[in-house]
Amino acid sequence: MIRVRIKFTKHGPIKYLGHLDVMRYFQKAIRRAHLDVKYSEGYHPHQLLGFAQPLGVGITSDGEYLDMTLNTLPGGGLQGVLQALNDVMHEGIEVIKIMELTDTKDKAMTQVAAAAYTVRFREGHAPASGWEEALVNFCTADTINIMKRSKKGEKETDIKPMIHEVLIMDDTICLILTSGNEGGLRPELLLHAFLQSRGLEATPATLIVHRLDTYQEGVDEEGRYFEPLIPDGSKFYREDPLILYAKGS
Amino acid sequence: MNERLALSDEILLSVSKPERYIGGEVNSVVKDKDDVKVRFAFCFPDVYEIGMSHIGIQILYGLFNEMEDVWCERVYSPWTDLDLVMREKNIPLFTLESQDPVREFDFLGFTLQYELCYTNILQVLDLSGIPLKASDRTWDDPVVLGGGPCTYNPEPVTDFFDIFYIGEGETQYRNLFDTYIRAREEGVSREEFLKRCAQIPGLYVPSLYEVTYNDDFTIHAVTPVSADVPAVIEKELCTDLSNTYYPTKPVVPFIQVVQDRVVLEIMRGCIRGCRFCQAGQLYRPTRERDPKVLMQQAMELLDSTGHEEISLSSLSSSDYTGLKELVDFLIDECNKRHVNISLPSLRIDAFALDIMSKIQDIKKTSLTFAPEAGSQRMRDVINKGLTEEDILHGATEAFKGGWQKVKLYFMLGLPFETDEDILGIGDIANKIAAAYFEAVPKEERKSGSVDINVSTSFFVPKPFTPFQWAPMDVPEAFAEKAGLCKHGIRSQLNQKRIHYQWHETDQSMLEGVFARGDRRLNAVVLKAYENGCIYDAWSETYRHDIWMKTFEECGIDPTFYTTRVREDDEIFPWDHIDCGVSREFLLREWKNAQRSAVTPNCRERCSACGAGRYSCGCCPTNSNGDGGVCHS
Ligand code: SF4
Ligand code: SF4
Repeated sequence: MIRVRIKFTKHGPIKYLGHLDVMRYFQKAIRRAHLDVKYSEGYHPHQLLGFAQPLGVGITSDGEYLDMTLNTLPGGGLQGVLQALNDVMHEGIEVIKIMELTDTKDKAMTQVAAAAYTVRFREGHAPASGWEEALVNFCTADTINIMKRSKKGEKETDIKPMIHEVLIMDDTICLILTSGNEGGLRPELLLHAFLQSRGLEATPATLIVHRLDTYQEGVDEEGRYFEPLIPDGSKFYREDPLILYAKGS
Repeated sequence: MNERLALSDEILLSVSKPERYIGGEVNSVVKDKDDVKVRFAFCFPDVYEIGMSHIGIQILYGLFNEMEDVWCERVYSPWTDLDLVMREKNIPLFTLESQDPVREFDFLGFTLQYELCYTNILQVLDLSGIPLKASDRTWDDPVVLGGGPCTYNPEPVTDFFDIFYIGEGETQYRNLFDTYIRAREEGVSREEFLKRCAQIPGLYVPSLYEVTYNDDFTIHAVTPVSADVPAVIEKELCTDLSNTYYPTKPVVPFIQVVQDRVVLEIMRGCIRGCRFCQAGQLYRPTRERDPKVLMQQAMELLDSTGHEEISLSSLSSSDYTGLKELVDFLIDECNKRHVNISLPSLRIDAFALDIMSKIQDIKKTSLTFAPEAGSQRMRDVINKGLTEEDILHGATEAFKGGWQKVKLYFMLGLPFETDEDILGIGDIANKIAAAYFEAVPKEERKSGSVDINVSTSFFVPKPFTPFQWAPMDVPEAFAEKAGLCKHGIRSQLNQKRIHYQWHETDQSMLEGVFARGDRRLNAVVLKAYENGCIYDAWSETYRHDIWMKTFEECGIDPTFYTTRVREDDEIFPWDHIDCGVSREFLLREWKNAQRSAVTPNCRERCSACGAGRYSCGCCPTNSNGDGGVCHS
């Protein structure tokens, strides 16, 4: 038995697939790829898959993760798994990385700590000029209390601790926000709150959101950091949040 | 995948289930439009999840796309939310694959699976910018074509179609496409092209027939407008299913649809002539597909789709002679693949229980019986060869095997029905409950107890059945009968174990009107659509009040089609269509019903229904045999 984690991207019209449908999509793809994946017991066996973090409908991504358990590896080992999947993948979804999980405690779903996004305003939806400074001001406040839904219903929550980076370059806002099972901050929620604070309406189409990657948390001699769920050497140390408008860059 | 979608992100993010409109599903076919001569838009006029579950479209989609010079794409009814947006923003309806406007296509083919989709046909034409009436169309519009079971009586919608294809699609489409390509190359008129189509077997060009009425609005005659147009259109069918095309790479939807599984079509037709059942007549003779062929198809289909479930499709799987061989194979193969098998309701006997216990969780699944009527007399009237003994015996065996849930299906409003027949429903449900308590000793009744679900639907007489002569009940009678049935159930000893539900009556009434309708109804369909009716098959969108108002506006009495008593020799609006079964046979069966006389099934004895002329399947005239089916 071997547990593996894959990283995949989601681009183009396939961004309209909701999380459940992406799960269904992978279940079918894994069958088409003839991978020897492990199933649950019982009359209606299902594959033992674990997705890192649901992606909202309409959002594209370069950093989605999925854990699965295989009974045996195909020829070609881990790369063989990646190849077999890509051979049956749909345009718009590509498996770009794979790694073996050695620690049974490693579960994508529970490891997720943060995610990085780029956000732009859809054509015709950008607020009047000057919004960049306003957003910086909004995010540098000591507390940012908004109504937020949690498992226990809607309540006022301070989202400030969930903001790790807000970097505005040209028309693009780069964000690193807390993410994960225990409650996280979706980029739409932050920006809709911002727009609302300026008396502006937001619709589901106001923002173009793209997820860059999904992170887990680690700690080393330099401090606590975020790194991709399949680590690639890059580390983002969590000190005070970085909130910046890189004007004219 | 097509990056260029017909709908903007703004729209897609504002409607429910945008995945319905983006196309690009696994196994969907994309070609270069410049490489093909015929572009065919195939439409199931209902929402995506319903339409994608239909095996007929998958068959023809695959078949057409195998043709090098044809590109077949799909289109479904936009749901009501998108419908509004498209009208407001003037967005033309598009196909899923190319996302191109439907109006640019050579053909727009509809499958007519139920009568209550008729206003959705107009919705699709309207949103596409195609004139609703065939007579207003030019070569700038696609040729609009209809197929499927409702085209056996397409008279209520003749105004909207250029051509109907009567019967199974595998046989004549190539002929039609060649005729089309030639006509366009020669530059002939659309009228001339349609005339040529009328020469193709199975094709019905409604504009080439004239209907005259008697004073009482019954049909006087249906006459071709010229001598070279055939007076009768005979259905098409495949005589050899094993060697008939079947798609092994069906489109796999992203979203959960009704039929989210591999479907193996094991058989067409049914040997049992239940007198209320239209499918049982339309698809005669019964033809089986070789189990060896099906095994091969099963593996290819599972490989190409990755579906986690496989199911068998036929009208009556228990009558498929290769069932054991096929199911044994599937159990084996599917176990290896971790694939579920879902069997359509089998007749409950030892064999069925054995299979079911292997593939299902007994505690969770229901036994299904469809006695359709509550008394033996009534079951003889409808020629349903299922006795109370069969049911009680099957149920007892099942209870001993661990089953506890039973579903029972009945119809109310059958011809010659009496109160006793209706009260009999409660009786039989009670006896089943009693059989449980007898079969399972107290100490073995572990979790819960027997659970019987009775559901009744209202009988709608259909053309090409022995009951095409039968008057349908008025809605008030339906309500009364459901009440009586409920009373019958509630007065039973074991009534606590029996749940009862019945279906709405208003939609059944409308279905009854269109099922046996004539051309005068075209005006009603059009007007109802203009008055705002759409998605009539959905109870949440069905507007009975508007329909009733529309009938009134058009000066048409719906009861003319439903409750009226028809004479034996009345000419029916659908008499110029030949479904393979003769009118003489149906009339004979209507008389047999009146005498409660049972007619044996095709394997017990041929009743010379007329379908023997195709010399295939279960008919004694079939010299080749049909894979082990014996005839007397
Ligand atoms: S068994 Fe009867 S109801 Fe069922 S398909 Fe055959 S004829 Fe129709
Ligand atoms: S001809 Fe005889 S065997 Fe053939 S379908 Fe008709 S009744 Fe059945």
